[in-house]
Amino acid sequence: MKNTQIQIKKMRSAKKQLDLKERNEKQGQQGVASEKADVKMALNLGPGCLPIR
Amino acid sequence: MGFEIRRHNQIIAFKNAGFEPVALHAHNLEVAEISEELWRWMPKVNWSQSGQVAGVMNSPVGLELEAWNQELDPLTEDQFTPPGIRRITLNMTQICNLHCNYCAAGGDGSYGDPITRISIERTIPQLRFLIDKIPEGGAFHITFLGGEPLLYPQGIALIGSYVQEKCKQGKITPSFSITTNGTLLSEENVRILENLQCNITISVDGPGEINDRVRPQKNGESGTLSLLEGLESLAARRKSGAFWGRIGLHGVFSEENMEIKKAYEFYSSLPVDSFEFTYGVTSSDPELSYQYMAQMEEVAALAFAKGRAQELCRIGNFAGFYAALENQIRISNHCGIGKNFLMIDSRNRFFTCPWEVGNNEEMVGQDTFLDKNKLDDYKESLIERNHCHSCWARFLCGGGCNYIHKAKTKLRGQKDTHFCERTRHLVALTVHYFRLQKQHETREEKYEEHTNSN
Repeated sequence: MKNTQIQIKKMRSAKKQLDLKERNEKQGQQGVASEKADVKMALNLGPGCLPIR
Repeated sequence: MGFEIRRHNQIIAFKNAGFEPVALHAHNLEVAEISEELWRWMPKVNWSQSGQVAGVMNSPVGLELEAWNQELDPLTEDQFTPPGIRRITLNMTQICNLHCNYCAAGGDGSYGDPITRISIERTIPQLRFLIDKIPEGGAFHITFLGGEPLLYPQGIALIGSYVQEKCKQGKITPSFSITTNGTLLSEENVRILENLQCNITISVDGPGEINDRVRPQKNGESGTLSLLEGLESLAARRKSGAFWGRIGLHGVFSEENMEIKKAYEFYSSLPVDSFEFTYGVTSSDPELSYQYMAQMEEVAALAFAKGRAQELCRIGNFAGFYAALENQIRISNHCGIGKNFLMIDSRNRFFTCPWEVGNNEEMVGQDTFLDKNKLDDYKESLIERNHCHSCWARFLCGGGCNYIHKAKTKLRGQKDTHFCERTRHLVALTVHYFRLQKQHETREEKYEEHTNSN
């Protein structure tokens, strides 16, 4: 079931976000999706935006 | 204390009055804001509780938290400990010009065995023996300790200069630090430390009226005035660009003095880089432990209000936890005891820890002999040794101080519950301020983006 409210919003350091980006870029397509999700998290967008897990 | 805590397996959540709840994934070292709904779902725990607690899987929020609980974050790393002895603490003397009320080194800095000077003739071969085992590109660190190490400055100069040369030959990076009472920072002694670019930790428990009461000089003069003069001299050398070692202040807080906030205010007025507030190793009053936590909470709030994470991280008690969260690095060993760290006393005997000097059970060699069998006893991580597997703070605490645990419980692998409570509380404070810092950074980023787009 999808929650309407953000239940968990992770807070990574800028360095870890870069690590994540680099790691995901190496992993191809999957990386693109993850990177977008990570950018959303960094911008602190509103409800419905779940941070990358 | 202002925090309420809740737990679901690997996830521990904190709520401070007036703030939204924040959670820590104990294995991944991820910090996350969580909803009030999720917070309410999580079972309550207390500070002394270390065992696993799980919520009942009867709601979507519970399932969502369980999904996070089961994740393994590929970005989380384990602390790297290179093999071999890379860090030693050296008792340059086992005598002191102070007579601190709470001294745990035999009451007078002597560990019950007053020795005026370590033998250079015996120390040089001992250091060569250790450095020869380090591969090219490695590092070697010496902390000069005592008694009061600056009662034998010529020894520091000789040993430092030998280690610099020896390391240069082996393409090893040397580094030095000293823990001193700061009363002997004469111009000549400052030059010796400057030649080694030695990081300096000065033991001082607060402003003069407190420090001179709990750390009196044997000659009756004010030690605080002497150390303030020494600090001025160090600050001048730094300003000139000749000295770039770090300068820190370190206080011990116990039955004799629990004025941590006053100490913080005093420390903040001095030209230094960092502070450390240590709970007295021999203190065992639960009320005192509670007072320590309450005052650390006040000090953290003062520091964060003054300069956010940068100021908070001038306090060593928080800096290590903060760095581990920032870099998501799991710490499995509170210190390098028996692994990459050893203590050498003024008789050139190896001990596992500075607090164990004189304890034959923890003596692991002498001169150029190291007892491999005794060291093997420390092969397992301190988390394993102290059975910390189910504690939520384990990968930030690293199993805690072996000496304190053993001193309080008299049993191997049994923990001092007050030490654990204090550590969990400091971790909770760090997570709280980590979250506030990240919120601030996000706001700044958004503001910058908004400004750039206009």
